[in-house]
Amino acid sequence: MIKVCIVEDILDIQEGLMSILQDDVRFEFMQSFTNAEEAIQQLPIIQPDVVITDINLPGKSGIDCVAETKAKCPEMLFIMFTIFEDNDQVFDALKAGASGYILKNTKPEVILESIHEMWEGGSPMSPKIARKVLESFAIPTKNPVLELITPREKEVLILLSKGFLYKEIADQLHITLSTVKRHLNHIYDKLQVQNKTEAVNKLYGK
Amino acid sequence: MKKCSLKNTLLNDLKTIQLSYIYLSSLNTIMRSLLCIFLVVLLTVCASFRSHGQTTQLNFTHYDEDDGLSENSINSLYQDSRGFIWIGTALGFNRFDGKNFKKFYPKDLLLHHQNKEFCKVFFENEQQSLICLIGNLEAYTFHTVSQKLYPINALKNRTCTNFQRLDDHSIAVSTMDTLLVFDNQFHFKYHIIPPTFQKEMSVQVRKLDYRTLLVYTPNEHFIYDLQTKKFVALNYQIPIEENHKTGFSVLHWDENKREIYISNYFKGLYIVNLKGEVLYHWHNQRKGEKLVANCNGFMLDPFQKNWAWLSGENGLSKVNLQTKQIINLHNINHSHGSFSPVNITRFIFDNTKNLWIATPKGLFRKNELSEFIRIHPLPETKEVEFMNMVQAVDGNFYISTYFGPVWKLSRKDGTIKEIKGFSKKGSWFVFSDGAYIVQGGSGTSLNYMHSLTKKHTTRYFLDRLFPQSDLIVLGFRHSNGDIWFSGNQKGGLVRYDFKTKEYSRFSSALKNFSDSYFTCYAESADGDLWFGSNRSSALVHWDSRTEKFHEINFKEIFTQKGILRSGINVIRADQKGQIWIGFDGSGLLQYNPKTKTFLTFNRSDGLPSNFIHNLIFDDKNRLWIGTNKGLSCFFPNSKKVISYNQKNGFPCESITSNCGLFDEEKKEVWMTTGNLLFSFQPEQIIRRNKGKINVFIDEFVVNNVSMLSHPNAHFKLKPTQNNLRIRFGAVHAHSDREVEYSYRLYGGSPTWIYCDAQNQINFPNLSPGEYEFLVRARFKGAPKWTWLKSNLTFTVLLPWYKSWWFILLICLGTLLISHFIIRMYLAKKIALQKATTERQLAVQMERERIAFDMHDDLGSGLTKISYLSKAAVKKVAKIEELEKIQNTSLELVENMSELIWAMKVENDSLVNLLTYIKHYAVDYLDGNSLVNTFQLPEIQSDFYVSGETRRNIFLMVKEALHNIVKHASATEVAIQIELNDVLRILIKDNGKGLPIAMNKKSDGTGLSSMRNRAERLGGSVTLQSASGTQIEFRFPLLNIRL
Repeated sequence: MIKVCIVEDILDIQEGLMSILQDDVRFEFMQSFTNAEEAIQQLPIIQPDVVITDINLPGKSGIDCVAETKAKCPEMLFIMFTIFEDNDQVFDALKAGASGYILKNTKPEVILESIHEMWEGGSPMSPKIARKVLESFAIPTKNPVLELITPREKEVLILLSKGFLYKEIADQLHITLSTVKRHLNHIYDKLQVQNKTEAVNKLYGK
Repeated sequence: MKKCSLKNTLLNDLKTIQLSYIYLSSLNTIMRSLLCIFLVVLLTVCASFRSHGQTTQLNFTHYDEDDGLSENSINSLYQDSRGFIWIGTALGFNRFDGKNFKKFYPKDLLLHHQNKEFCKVFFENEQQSLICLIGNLEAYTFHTVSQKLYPINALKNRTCTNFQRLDDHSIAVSTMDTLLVFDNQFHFKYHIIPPTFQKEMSVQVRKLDYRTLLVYTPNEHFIYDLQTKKFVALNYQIPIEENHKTGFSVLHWDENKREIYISNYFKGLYIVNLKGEVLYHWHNQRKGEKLVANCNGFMLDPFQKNWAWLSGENGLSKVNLQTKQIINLHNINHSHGSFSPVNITRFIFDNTKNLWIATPKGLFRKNELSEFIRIHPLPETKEVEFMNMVQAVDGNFYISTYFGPVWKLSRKDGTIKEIKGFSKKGSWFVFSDGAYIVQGGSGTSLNYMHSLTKKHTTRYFLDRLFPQSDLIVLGFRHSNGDIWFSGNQKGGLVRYDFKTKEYSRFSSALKNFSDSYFTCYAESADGDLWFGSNRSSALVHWDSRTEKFHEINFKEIFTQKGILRSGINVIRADQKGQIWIGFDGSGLLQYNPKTKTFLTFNRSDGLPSNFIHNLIFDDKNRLWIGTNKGLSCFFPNSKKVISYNQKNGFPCESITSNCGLFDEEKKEVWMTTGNLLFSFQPEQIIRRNKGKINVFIDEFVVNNVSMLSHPNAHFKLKPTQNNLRIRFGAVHAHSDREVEYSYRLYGGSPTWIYCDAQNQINFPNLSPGEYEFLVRARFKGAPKWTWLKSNLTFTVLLPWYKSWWFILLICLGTLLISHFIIRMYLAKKIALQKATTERQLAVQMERERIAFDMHDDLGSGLTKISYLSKAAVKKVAKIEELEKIQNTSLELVENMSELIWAMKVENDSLVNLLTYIKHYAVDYLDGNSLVNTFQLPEIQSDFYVSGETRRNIFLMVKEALHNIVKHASATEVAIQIELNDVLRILIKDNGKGLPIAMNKKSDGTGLSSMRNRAERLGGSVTLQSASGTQIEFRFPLLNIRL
């Protein structure tokens, strides 16, 4: 059973999602929050496996929630719950430590599949996000720690940014679809590391 | 100018009287009035004097107002350092260069002064300024280069009468009662006031030695000691009658003998010593020899030692200072008419020692040759023609004349006397045979006269030798004693052999030669004889050894040259054995008997004429040639020719007789023409012809302003000062020969430009640059040019707008201005771009804001609706409407997502569009379980695609896919995207295809809206329905690369 928490300020949507989750036996719904502050406080205590969080929240945003909680609980999996895929904030959230995103208007079955898939280690990524990731890694830094991305991961990113589909990438690189998704997952992790290092650098004025 | 014109004009000119008043202010009033009477005189040009029986002819060239002189009454004469003759007159002064007079009028030079016409010139100082007196005896200097007149300030308001050089550093100025001494720049040095009784007299001076001066007024003379500053009165021991008290003027100081030459109007000329004792006295009036009256000029002869020239009221006299002999140059009759007394105001010898005379009737220049060609007048003035001239054993010359007697010219006293007893009908020849003088010509008889006994005999032996002849045209004695004759009427030649005492005849009939008689001959040094006739150009040679004739005819040579006249006038043999022949019309020929070659000389070689009448060699082997154009001297070695004619003072126009000889003893050439017998010493004549030309710049006028100030000045002219006029000239006062010029302007043209006699050149519109003007002159035809000593240099400056700094400035300025213009333009463009960008940015921001709002508000709202409806469906069983609400809201969210995608500026690219389409298509078709392939080519370069276009294209593809899913019942879909000039999207399915009606307007698949969208984008939609449907979109791409 995958323990799930929800952070969503619109109660109707919160409840809708809750009901979808409760119908599935693979998931155990634990608690829902209407704001990030409460979630940040409670999540480390509750220790869910997966947190589905909206981005736009009153007060602190979902991204803040991811960033702050992920720092305390690195094992916790964050999935951004967004209306549109084409949202700049999704990338920021990914950088902050989110593992993927789900569109709110996705069919319930698909939502559940996506959560499960992410739990299994895959991560969805749109070509736009792939481009942004590539860009962020292309910036040369002095810190060798930052050169985290492997050539294979880079290849995946490039293909993805060019609009290739996961299956096409898999075909081209002679790997399985899940390997592609795992690569993407790793990329997200590294994005987070990179983001943190940048923050530290900024803090110490390096 | 006039040659030898004889005038006897009564001159009663007020001007002249005035002039004499001023010039002779030192004379008293009686003298003045008398002078006026004498001024009535004058004018000659041909003066001559007699000496030792020979006559020296003086002839002059006369210049007066008609020749350009400003006024005829000349009061002063001076030759300056450049050679110009300056002439002061009662009406302005003149500069004479040998050819032209340039007039200067004080009233023109001094604009503010009027009534200043009288001018008297004195001498030039070191600054090339001529000291002169103008108007009412005011002192001025005239700069001879810039030709400007300046007052001498030190002498302002003083009446000056004379200027003299005391020494190299002092100028003495005569004024009333005082003598002022200045340095060369007219700085006052000291003054001398003699203790005279008679006041208001002009004080004159003469330097006696380094410390004593002779200071005098007409009546009172003093010796002044410069060191003690004391005066000692000098009283001459000359008794003067009370009514003849006219005073003495000092003419000359003989430094060596310490003698003074003084003249008195009534008494004449005296030589006195410093004690006042008279050493010699020439009376004014003396029988036979008359001194010029009122001596006012004295000059030592530049050629003859102990001789001096005197000038006065009635002309010139020449005095031997040793023998006291006087030669008067007035009132002497000779063959050219009578010589009238001429009042001479001043005379000078120029730098070629030639004589110039100033008179109230103009200027006279003695011609070069006159005085050096001695004319020997015959006692009889009857027309005669000279035939030949020989020197007899007694040393005297015997001259035969046609129409006249035989003359004997005594070598002892130079007298010419007729020999009585000879035929007066005319003789063709005379020669000397031992003690006898032989004369012949008319008829075949010969007259013999014994030179000692004077006994005459007539012989007739030629009658039988020349039976046809009535004239013996040639007769001479060979140096070996043989005697030769030639008779007319085919008489040929007769030789009397001195050894055998036999006569032999040679003639054309005997085929000795072709000529019938001979008129001239020459004996060469080897004893051979050369004969010629005035009827042919054949030279006949008598070989004295073989005693045979040989004829050389030059006729063919002359005919080849186109010369027809070729008679032989004269033959001479020179010391080297060369034979010289003078032809009548064919010039001169030199024949070499050894090589039998010849050379010809004619006008093209410098001879004045081709009509050669006489040839005489002098002792220096110079050949004196008499032609019908005067006398020439030919130098056989250098082939140089010097010619003399009347312009040089040669007494006659042409020489037409071959009668003449060279007097070895006295080194004199004797020649004749017409009835004129003359002689000259070659050395004197050749020396006379030497004379230099001095080239000068007369005017340098720039834009009508005269600029000349100094001969070496360099002129810097403004760019507008580029219209130049340069006038130049050549000074050659000694000769009035024609001069020719050529010039060169460095910077203008590099070559010499010949301008003949033209002496003014205009240079209009000279371009800027450095120039050097050179000019050279020579007597016409002379071999050598004389150059301008210091070249005229000038610079025409560049106009400021052509100077390098201005061009640089313009360049810089242009650069600067264009820089500013470009900057302004760029700034504007940038501002415009900025504005556009800002506008675009504003639009973009607006689009972003709308997208954001849609996202946050509408999006979440619709999501909320979908979740609510879903919840409702769950709770209230299945209500179709609720499901529809849910689906609709989900669709709306989807559509909105597409809208937001379309609105976002960052997505405005082709790659983005195609990727979006791909992801959509694959998701959609996968979602509907259709097997699909999507072919997207690798896109090399991305293009800009606007949001609206993107949305439309996407919607069309979406519509097409929707139709396939909804209506086609297909299982497979293939999407192919191609990109070349246009974007081509091809969607194929394997469905049932389109019903035909669907192609029509009223289909329900939104095909028409698809078409409308495509057309709006300028693209097209094509449908094909065979096995399955194929839909093809074509869109043009905006060629905006990203």
